[in-house]
Amino acid sequence: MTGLLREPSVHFLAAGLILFGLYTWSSGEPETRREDDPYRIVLSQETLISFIQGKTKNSDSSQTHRLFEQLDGDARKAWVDRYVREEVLVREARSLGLDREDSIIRRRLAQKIEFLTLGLLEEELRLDAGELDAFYQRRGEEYRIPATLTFTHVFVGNSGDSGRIKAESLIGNLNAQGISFRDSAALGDRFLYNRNYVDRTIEEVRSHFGDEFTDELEAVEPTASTWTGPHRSSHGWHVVLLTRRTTSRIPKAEEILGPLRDDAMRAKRETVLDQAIDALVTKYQIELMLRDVD
Amino acid sequence: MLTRFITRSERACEFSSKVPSALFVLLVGISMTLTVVSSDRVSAETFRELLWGDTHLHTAYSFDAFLNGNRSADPDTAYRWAKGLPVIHPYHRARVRVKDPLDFLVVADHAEFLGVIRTLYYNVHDGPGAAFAEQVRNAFDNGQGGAMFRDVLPMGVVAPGDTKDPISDEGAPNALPIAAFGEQIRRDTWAETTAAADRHNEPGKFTAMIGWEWSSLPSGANLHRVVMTPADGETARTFMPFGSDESSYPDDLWAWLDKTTQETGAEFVAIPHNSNISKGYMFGETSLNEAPYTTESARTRARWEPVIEATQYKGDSETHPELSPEDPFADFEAYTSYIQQNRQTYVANKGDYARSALRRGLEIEERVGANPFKFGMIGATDSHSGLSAYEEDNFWGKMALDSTPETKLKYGVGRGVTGWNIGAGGIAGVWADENTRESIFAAFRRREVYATTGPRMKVRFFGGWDFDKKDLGASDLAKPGYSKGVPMGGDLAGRPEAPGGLRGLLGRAAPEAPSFLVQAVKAPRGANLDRVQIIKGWIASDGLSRERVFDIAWSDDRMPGASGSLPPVGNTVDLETGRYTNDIGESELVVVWTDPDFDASQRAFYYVRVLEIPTPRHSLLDGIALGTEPPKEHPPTLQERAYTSPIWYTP
Repeated sequence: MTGLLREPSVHFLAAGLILFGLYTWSSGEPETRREDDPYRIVLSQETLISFIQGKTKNSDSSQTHRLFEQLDGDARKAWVDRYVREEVLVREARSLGLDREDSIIRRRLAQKIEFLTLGLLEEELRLDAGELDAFYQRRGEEYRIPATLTFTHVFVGNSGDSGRIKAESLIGNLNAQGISFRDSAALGDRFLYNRNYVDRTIEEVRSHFGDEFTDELEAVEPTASTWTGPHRSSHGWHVVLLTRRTTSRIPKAEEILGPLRDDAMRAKRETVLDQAIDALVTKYQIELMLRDVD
Repeated sequence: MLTRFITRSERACEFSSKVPSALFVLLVGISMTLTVVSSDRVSAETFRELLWGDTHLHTAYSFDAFLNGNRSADPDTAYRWAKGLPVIHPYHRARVRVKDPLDFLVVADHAEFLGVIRTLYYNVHDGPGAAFAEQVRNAFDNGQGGAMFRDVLPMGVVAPGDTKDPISDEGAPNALPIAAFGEQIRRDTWAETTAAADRHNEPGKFTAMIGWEWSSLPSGANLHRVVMTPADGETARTFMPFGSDESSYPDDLWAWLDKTTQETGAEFVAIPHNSNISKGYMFGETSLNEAPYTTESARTRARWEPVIEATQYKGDSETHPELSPEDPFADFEAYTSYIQQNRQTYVANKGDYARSALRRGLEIEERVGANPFKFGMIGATDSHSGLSAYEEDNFWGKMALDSTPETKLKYGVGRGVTGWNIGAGGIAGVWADENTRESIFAAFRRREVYATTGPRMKVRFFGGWDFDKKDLGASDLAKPGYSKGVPMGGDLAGRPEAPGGLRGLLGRAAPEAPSFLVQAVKAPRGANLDRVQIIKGWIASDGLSRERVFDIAWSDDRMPGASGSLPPVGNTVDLETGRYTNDIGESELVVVWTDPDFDASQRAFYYVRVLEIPTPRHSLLDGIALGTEPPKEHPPTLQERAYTSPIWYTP
């Protein structure tokens, strides 16, 4: 079904535009329809079945075919009357030019041409390395990776002075004994959230510890084994071993090739379409009948 | 090594007063050795880590999402939002962004008509689908997408509480439109959506799990299931997602899952949702085709459905005031509109809610020896806008159409609902070994998952026979939790004859009742906690089930009243500004609780419910923004909550 998009026939384009665009019953046979005679309605079985299918909201055309076979004469006549009635109204509306000014119909026609145009431009919708690189240079900022911190902490739940004093004495012991990242797992009071924060964003750290703590940590230099503090958070005091800090950066193109290519393709599709439409516009001479602005 | 005990000295003293000092030294020695051993682990956290995600997200590929205004938010948009990147909203086109990104996401579009409406709208101008495509475009461009959606809904023939098979009713338009049309479109869309999952899956950082929704809705009884698989796209593309157009019977879905697992190696779980609007059929007394449960069929269901969605946009399914009249918090985000064309008065049934189903499961197990409703609980969004928006103040509607305060009023006209009947939330907390498809899937299998109605409350829940208050002194409660008990979703079987571990060595008496270790922590950016409760259900001596709610930990040193009930925590929400403060409530509640009414001969389940202090509902924020009274659909403030998966006791 989607293959149809990739096979936009010129025939269809012309028919869609010159004839009646929107209301062309696509499964009908144009040569028997004689739509050039506005007062002659030719109704084929296929068109009628397609009409019934639409009205009954049945998505299965073979089922509608079977149903149609079972309809008796009266029922068929009722459907024919319904079709004729609608067709007559549509033609009358067209003869009054209602299809030309209707905003919905105008939008539909415009949309159809956009899709058909894109289909015709498939060749141009390939992306070469240069274009990908140019897109990356232009839009790389959107893929920025936020800054992160890696640290562990020993928590003292008492947020008063005695807590601070306890935390201060802890720093000396931890550093004197060279307690490492993973050896500290059993120390301190229970903290609400995590003990270890590995490559967590500043924002997440902020949400767990509050502003004061996070701002202080942003100024701490990473080391393998030097505990710092005490740092105060919204929960109490912390002695911290901060081992890694990454700064915010724009990833290399190789790291984000998948999404980059998708986005570049999307952007290109829009550009190509704009250009194609601009080219169409140049075929037209535009006369402005606007009143001058003073 | 002395530093190890600096901050624990007071507790150590308390401990030592009850045990001979020589033994204490010995214990310290043992525990130090254990500590050193366990600290050799190098992972980010010593124990399982808490991951947050949404298993139920629809994109423009779902027919109803598209008809209700989501023309642009595809799986790529969905993953970008989940990962915290700014995206364009499919309806109002503003740039939007989640505040706390998710760790995992399941894009679960409806299997029926997968991608068909979207493709027809955009692409099909010729061929057998053209007339239907035209109709779709007409409906859409005239603003009649919502009406068209209504037209494809079933007529509700069975009434809430009926027990006859709702599918057998010949003549009623009981199913969604069949998918015979547009099979190639479905195939192409499935290829696209599974490829997008693989593209966005980053083991260790972000998990994109493949899934879909089986949308069985016979006679308006909602039996929907989200199906998910840890398989990769290549495997998933060897089958087509099973839809309700192939069968509306859950038993047929499970049979298909079984067959497909054997054929392709892909594993699955099915996650029922919106049992609240199933007219009693989701957790009925019998199978849907009226066959009583047997040992075999109960096991089959429990195998495929280890977890249910207990809360989401279309209401909360934990329990209902009519089913739990003694539970003052039972009336929460009730949604009472069946998904069908005609209106029917809502009636809450035992088959509609998680708590009554857990009870019914025990009753069936009593009879047939297996429990079909042995499920854990998660929350999810069921968002159709491509945006898994679970934050009350950053909520963008169920569909694309109802994403602004003004359009919420118009949403669902003719079906008796507005955008304010929709709740803003549901999210799944998962205790997983790591952030990968396999680990998350394994957590679902063992039910080590829980539901919240949006906020990221951390909840630990362990059951065992030897927990006592001293365990609360651990620097990480997971340590005593995992070493002395089972986590949420687990089983306790039979009462031990002697206590475990050192208490056993000391010759202490066997425990009379199970004890539970619970930790609840407020969401980092969220509101404080009001209380922690245990909900117990059990089989009484008459063979029927009972339920009881216990308050086990609470904030602000409140005293229970004469009736035993705890006074309300209060409410700091300013109805004029929509702000609240954390001046009431507690940031963390921890407790060891022992069942005071335990009877070792009775089957039972226990789960934890955590309540936040009141916060503003999205409808209140809309009312303030519109300069009107708060919308009447629900109270202007709500107490967000978490439900853990239960721990079961079997004699």
